[in-house]
Amino acid sequence: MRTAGWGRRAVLFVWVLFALFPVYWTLITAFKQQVDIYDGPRFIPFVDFEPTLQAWRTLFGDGGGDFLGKFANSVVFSGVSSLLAVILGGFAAYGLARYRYKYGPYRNDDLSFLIVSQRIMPPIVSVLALYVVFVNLRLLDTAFGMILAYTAMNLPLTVYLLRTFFEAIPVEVEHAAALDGYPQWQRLLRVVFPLAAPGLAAAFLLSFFFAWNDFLFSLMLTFNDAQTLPLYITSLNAQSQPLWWLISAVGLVALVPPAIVTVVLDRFMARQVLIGGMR
Amino acid sequence: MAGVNLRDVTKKYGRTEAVKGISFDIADGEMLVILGPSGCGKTSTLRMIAGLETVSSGTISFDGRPVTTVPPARRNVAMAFENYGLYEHWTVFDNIAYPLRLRGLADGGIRRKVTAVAEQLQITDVLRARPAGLSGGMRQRIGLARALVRDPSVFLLDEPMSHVDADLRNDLRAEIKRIHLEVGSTMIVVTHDQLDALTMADRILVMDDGRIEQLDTPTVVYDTPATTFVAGFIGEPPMNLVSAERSDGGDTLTLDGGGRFGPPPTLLDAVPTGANVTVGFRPHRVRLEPAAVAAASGDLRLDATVYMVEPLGDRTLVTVRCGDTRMKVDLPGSPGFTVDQPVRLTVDQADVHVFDPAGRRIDPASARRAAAA
Amino acid sequence: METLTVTGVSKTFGGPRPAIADLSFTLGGGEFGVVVGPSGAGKTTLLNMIAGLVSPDTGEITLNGGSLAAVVPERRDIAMVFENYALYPHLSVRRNLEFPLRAPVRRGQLSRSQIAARVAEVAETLRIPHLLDRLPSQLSGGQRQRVSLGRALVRRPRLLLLDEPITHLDAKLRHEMRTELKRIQRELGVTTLYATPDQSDALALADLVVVLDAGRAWQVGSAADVYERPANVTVARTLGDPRINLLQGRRDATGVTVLGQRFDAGQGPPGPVTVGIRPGDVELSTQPVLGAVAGRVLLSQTLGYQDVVYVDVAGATVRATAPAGIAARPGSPAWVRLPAARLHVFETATGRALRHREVV
Repeated sequence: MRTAGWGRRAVLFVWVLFALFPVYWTLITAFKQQVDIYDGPRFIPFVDFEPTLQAWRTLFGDGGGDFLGKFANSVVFSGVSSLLAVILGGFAAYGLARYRYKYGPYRNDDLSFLIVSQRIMPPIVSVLALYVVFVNLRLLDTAFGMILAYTAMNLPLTVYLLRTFFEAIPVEVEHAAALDGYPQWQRLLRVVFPLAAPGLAAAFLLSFFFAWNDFLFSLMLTFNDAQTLPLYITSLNAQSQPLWWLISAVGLVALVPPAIVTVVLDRFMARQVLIGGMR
Repeated sequence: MAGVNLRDVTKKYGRTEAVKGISFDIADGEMLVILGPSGCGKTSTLRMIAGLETVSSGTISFDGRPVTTVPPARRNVAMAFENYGLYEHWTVFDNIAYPLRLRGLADGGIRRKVTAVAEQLQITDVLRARPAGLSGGMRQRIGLARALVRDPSVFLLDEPMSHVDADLRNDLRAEIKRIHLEVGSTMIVVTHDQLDALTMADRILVMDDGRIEQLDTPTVVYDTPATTFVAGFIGEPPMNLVSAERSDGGDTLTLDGGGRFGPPPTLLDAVPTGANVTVGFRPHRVRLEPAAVAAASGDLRLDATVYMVEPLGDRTLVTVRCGDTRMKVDLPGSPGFTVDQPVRLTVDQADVHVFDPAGRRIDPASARRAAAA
Repeated sequence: METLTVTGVSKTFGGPRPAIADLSFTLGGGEFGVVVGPSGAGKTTLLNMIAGLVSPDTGEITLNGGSLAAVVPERRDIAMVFENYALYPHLSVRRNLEFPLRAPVRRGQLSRSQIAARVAEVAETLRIPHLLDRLPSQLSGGQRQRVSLGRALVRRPRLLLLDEPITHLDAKLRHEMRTELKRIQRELGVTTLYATPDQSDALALADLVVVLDAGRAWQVGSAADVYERPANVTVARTLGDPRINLLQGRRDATGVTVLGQRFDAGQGPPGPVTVGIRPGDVELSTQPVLGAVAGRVLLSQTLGYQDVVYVDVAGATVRATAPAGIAARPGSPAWVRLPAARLHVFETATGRALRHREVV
């Protein structure tokens, strides 16, 4: 390790304080009572205020059925829709990368553009149309509807991202596997997917984040059963005195699933380094 | 036109030293080829001369005028890049005219110069075309034309053959040499291909690991390589190199695999006893005979078996195995050797090269001088 | 040992001209065949069709008499070494070598210990046992080349296809690998087809040479055939280094006139002909010689063991080889003699050979 100058260290120290303070603040707020929050700033637990588990009891105790349901909704919708988007998008992207299509005047690049163009429109425009469709198909406020909506929202992203990943795999590697005695499905399983693993992981991660952080679809397409975490947080905010201690606790819990997904998938993305010697 | 002088030039990238203090002079109008494997520092050297890389220490001057800190645009050097660097959406004419337009030359003058260069390089027919559809060789010529049109004082070529088909390479080598003879400007070519160097250079600068291994004419570099590196890098196939040892007090060297070489006394004096030296000889300087009929002529003798025979039209390449070493023998015509046949190799004293344990050439003349001193 | 036959095979990829046009040849069991031609000649397309990666528009490919038309690549038991090696980057060298042996089509044929033994054996042959636990990204170009060859050989294929396997190696390694390849092929006796742009590979390796250009086979024959008796100008130009001189001449009833000299060679109906002479057959002198034409040296290149001198003779450029160090400065006079016995004559209009040089 090189020794950094004292000046540089001081700057970095200040920056770290600046960056970490909001996290710290959220953390201690989650252990406060309403009175500690509205009675001037209090910084240090046990000194400034007496920590309490009130927020956590509310979330996970008997009265927290509401929270756990929404939390489960968020996890299931984000997870399942991202998985679907990666699998379906993966096949579409592989097709676009490896086969030449001809539909009237459309070629691979046009098809690719058509798919990506789904995301050009601001979501607020499409969500209104989606609302009408959902009403007619009776998908409003259903888990199936929400998974469908998130999958559709994320597909353009995964197709676009994965196409470049598949194109970067030399076609000769697949040819080699064919001559080595592996049928098409086995080639995908044994060669293509492992080599595209960093891309698949990145696509899943981005899809998951988009779905996890979505507010708009949830707002327009759900009202009770299929509500997700962001909407729940909003409901806590909609009072004369927002329940900051509870909001903070929910916020902390909401950090956990994306963090887990990131840590798990990061290892796959790091394999990019090994695959550098593809040619 | 200008001569180029480098003095103790080094280039460091972080802690790694790519070029380790090299000095050499290029005469005005000379064609110098810098030859070496990838990572030897040849491209860094070229880029420092062009001004595209800063010099870590040392000086570079053109005609005695220091240019070490002069920006590339004001050095009047032209560089044709490995990947051509052509503007695909412009016509060939506009590509070649571009450096002149940058200088604000009048249209008439531009037209005249471009036409002249195009004629010289025989690309007049494609001046209206765009580079995209043209062959590698043609694109290479366009790159050359764009560099030549500026009348640069120094003309730099980075791996000019790398994107050209093997069968066209020889044509392009002759072409570049012809252009050099005609234009007479100082040219520096960087390549990893020893044949580029032999066929085009007035002098070859062989580099390895950031250092100069040898700087001399193609004939001298080929006939008297200064180090085992040069010997093993130049020639196709390159020189056969075998480790050998001088037995205590003996007047012959024993080769790995059992051969013997009796060097001239002047050379023998310079060979340390007990040390591991290297003996080298060119594949086409070897006589090869079936072991059964072999006469005991020649100063280097080695018994081996034929490993493989590769006919090459008017010549034949025979690979022989002697212990763990394999050696190449290049023979005229189609001699009738067969695989696994026992054979004897003989080489004349004058065609045998000896290198000291550090890989440096021991040559009788310098040995004599050393003895006299 | 399997015989490969290619009969009337054509393939067009939507472009104006076919990638492969009406190609036919037979490669005998255990033979080493070389397809030689410039880039874009159709070499890779041909190999891909034999491998089953591309299907021909017309024609038939058979292995030991059995048509391959309906056989998918994974069931052909044909191995291929690719120009970019195409190793599996996520697998160690060992896993790469095992990969074909563990394929679904060979399930149950080899036990685990047999697989290990095969891998060890092929690694030994190619001198790569010390690399078995590395990843392809940790190997040099030459090492990757060996692994790629090992992966092709480990399952003892019916046919071995090699697509420019040594093009990207440096000169020394290329020579070593070429020798090694020929030796291994000879020892294993596997029928092999090798594609290369390098004519010296073709001459050095081949039992059978297919000279391919613009999708057409210009000649199919032994290395000696295509070198000594080129069927047409394209073949003459493809083989031989330095390249053959092709000079404009005229033929009449009694002989051929070229460079202002008459030769009793290639007589026949009058018309323009192309006279070919290999640079090694041209006699070059810096002094006037009886029967030689005077010219001027354009440039001379050294190859180390010999020089190639370009001489301008009456507006035509003649390449001649000469002993290294011949005093041939650009602009100096030189005399060139073409020995009548060493001339090839081709009909200019068709490129067809009318006469070959006499073998000495």
